[in-house]
Amino acid sequence: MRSAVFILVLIGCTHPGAGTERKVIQSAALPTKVHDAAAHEGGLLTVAPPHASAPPSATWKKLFEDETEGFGFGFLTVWGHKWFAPGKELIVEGEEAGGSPAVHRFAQRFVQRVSQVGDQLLAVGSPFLIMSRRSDQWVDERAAAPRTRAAKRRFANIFSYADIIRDGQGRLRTTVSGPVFLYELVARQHEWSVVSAADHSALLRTVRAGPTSGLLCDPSLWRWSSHGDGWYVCEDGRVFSYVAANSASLGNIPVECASSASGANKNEFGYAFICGENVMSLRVGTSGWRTVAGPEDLNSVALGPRCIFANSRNRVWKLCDN
Amino acid sequence: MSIFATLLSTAPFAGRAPTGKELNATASMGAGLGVAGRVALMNAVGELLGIPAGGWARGLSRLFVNGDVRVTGMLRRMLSLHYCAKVSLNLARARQYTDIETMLVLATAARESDSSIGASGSRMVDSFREGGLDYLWKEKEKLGLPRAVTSKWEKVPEFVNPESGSVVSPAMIPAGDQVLAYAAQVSASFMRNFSPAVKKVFGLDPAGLGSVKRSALMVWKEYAFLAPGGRAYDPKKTVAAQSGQPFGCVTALEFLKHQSSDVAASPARQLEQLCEFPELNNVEWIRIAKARTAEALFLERLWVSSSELLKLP
Repeated sequence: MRSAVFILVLIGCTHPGAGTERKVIQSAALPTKVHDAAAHEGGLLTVAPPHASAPPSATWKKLFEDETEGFGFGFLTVWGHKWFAPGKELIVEGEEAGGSPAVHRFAQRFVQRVSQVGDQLLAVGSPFLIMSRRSDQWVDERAAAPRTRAAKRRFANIFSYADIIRDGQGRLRTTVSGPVFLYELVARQHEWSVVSAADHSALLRTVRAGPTSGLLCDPSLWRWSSHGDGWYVCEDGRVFSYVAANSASLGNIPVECASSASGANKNEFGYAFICGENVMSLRVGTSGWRTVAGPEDLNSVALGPRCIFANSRNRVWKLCDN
Repeated sequence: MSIFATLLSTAPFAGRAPTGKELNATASMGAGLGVAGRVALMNAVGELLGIPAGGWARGLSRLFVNGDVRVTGMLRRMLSLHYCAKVSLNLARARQYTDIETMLVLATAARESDSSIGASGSRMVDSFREGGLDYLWKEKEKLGLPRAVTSKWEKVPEFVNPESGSVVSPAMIPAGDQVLAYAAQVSASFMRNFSPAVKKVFGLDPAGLGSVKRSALMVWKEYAFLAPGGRAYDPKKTVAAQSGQPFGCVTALEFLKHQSSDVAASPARQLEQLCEFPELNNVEWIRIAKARTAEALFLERLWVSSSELLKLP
């Protein structure tokens, strides 16, 4: 045993070609594989804007907080005068006007998002979680886990989006999707089932990236909004709504935001997304995108009738105009 | 420094990637060593990194399975020359765009997603599948890869990892890009996170990292890939008490700075002590980083030795 190693050592000794592995190390900013705790510690921040003109400072009001170890919010939504912040084992909901938020608890579940789908609200999450809101209560929809090996894959049991999309043949389809699976509502049976293997890949791509034709660019961000309509951001910063297969300009945003936009929401009040440390929004009836500094590292943002709502890993915030 | 440590102190073959034939010969030599030889070599490498003989028994830092080294499975697959050609191509691409040690790339990719090392073609695969690159879409512009590569990647809309509570933004990438993506992320984490942190904690310029012992630097590279940030080190608590996920690279740097009783010790020397303080082995990130580095150095020795024996060009 020792001799084998010794031989290897001696052979290596004679090798003349070994060079040094010393290269100039560049310095720069921050990629992470692991988002560790330090990266999520919050508090009000003075932010460096991603583009030249600094956004105005803003006073965000904290609406809800959960500092429990291991807690995380998903992505919030505003529907009418109510905001919904889903997360680990709960959905918190409150009124824009104020008052104490209500907390709905769901043991052993993680709710990623509450979405308006048609005229109802759906909450999606894991494991293979779909709930609809009926009479102010959240009720489980029927959705069975797929009986395939893929169902055991990492993140396979997560649903994170609920949309009405328009497929390549122009048909409207009500879907929920996650990082691995795409489900569809089979209306006759009022049951959700995984889209057939033959259609799954192409349809999931449509859910994620929008229609395959009729867009004015290859979007860096696509979101379905309602009934087969949507909106999208081009890499050059142009933003468009997509209604009845027609694109209409929503103005321009900074190019650096186009590639990094996240946490986006669109509702009856307008459009909102996160760009770096800032929140960008376009309110219906106004002509330009507004930029404000966010309160901390945010997951998502949405417009209310008068306020902007945002959530981070542990907190829900609002920022209201006077 | 021992002869063995000296041998491992420089990159073989000026850092180039192994050819398919060399990988095949590497595997053959590994097979020829037998179980006892492989175990002995791995233990010898591990000793340099502060890994106890026999390695760790559980979790992702295991070096030995059923009495043999864990990389035996990979070596067995590399007995196929056809397979080795694919692995070599992936490593050569990684080497083209990054300066991470080739065998460290191989060990990392094999640990993150076993099927990635011999993968080829444009079939799209998700970057998070086996625990890999959860933030690849968000990070892709910072990896230093050309647009010709990253323009083929597709966004997977963000979601929250229910276990960590963090927003995940992965990507779909061609199967043949997986090894390159791992290498690029190791490189980016090292340059963009670790290097500035060293400057901040020890005042050591990036160029000064060149004087750190190569094996220790490889552990840091892997550690920066796994946990680039970290909570502040609390000297009032033991390492074991702080050793969960938040004990990232920055925490370890602060720990080493705090331990320094020898004011004359250079920052480079202090960085090498990552492999010397036994209490740091309480941190799973560090155990995993050491295990991957040990496998990389193990494979390097087989590669160099087999090439010498077989007089491969």
